[in-house]
Amino acid sequence: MSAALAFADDLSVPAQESLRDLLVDLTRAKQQLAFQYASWCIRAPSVEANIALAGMSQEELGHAGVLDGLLGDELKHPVLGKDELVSWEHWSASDDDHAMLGTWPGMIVSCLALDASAAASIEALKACSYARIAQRALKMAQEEQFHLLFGTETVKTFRDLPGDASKGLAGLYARSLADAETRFGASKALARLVELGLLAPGAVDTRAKFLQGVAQRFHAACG
Amino acid sequence: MTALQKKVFWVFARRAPTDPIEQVGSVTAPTEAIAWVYAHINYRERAWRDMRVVAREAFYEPSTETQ
Repeated sequence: MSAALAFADDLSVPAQESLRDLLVDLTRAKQQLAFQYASWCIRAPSVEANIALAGMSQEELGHAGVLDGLLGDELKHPVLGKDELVSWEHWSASDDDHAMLGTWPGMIVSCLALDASAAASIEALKACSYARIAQRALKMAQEEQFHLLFGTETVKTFRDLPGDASKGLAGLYARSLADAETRFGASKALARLVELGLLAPGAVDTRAKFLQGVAQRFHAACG
Repeated sequence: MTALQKKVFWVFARRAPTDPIEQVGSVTAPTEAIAWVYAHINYRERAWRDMRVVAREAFYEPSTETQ
């Protein structure tokens, strides 16, 4: 792994391209999370949960803004408009990206999977030799701890759902995680950054272990 | 499986390392872990530190018979 780099211009062109791909995916994932949390922040089962969702939505949108700023300022990428995802002007219920998740358990489990996927990438980026990414990843990872705890602890409340409602949650988590990994997972981009020396060889493994840890907490929460 | 009942948790924190811990407010939550998350997000209008939650029912109060 190369020594700490202060500016994007210090990076090779392939490294800039891989970082761009990764940050675009992460920004999109965080915009998606912000949209879903905000959509539910007057529908949760308690006022405390509503406020938590509003706070988490702000944080996710803040993360997206920070990543988008890195893309634009450092990596010369066009700004990714958050309004594509979160404004009524662009709302389309027929598009999965723009549809509010319909049930409280479904939203919590789907967003936990997506949040875990994004947080795992952030965790790996904490050790990036490009200092600006590493600094921001460190701050984001701290806030993500709250989000994941919120998700896994809320899953515990689904144990007593009537009928088969709780049984499908494990399958939903697996499907949502697979979907998140396909769309935003960034494993390939991270592996490429390892090849290019921006990340230590263990970064991909760190990410996998992080995801495994969240999955274990999820399954324990399911009971 | 046991249903998780919502409980009231009192929230405590302090402003500076040498300040006494004070009660900040309360949250209603099904578990102490999620109460802690709620507390951190619901009461972040100030930069609290050492935030803790405790179930209200955990505070011992003697009954009138034993007083």
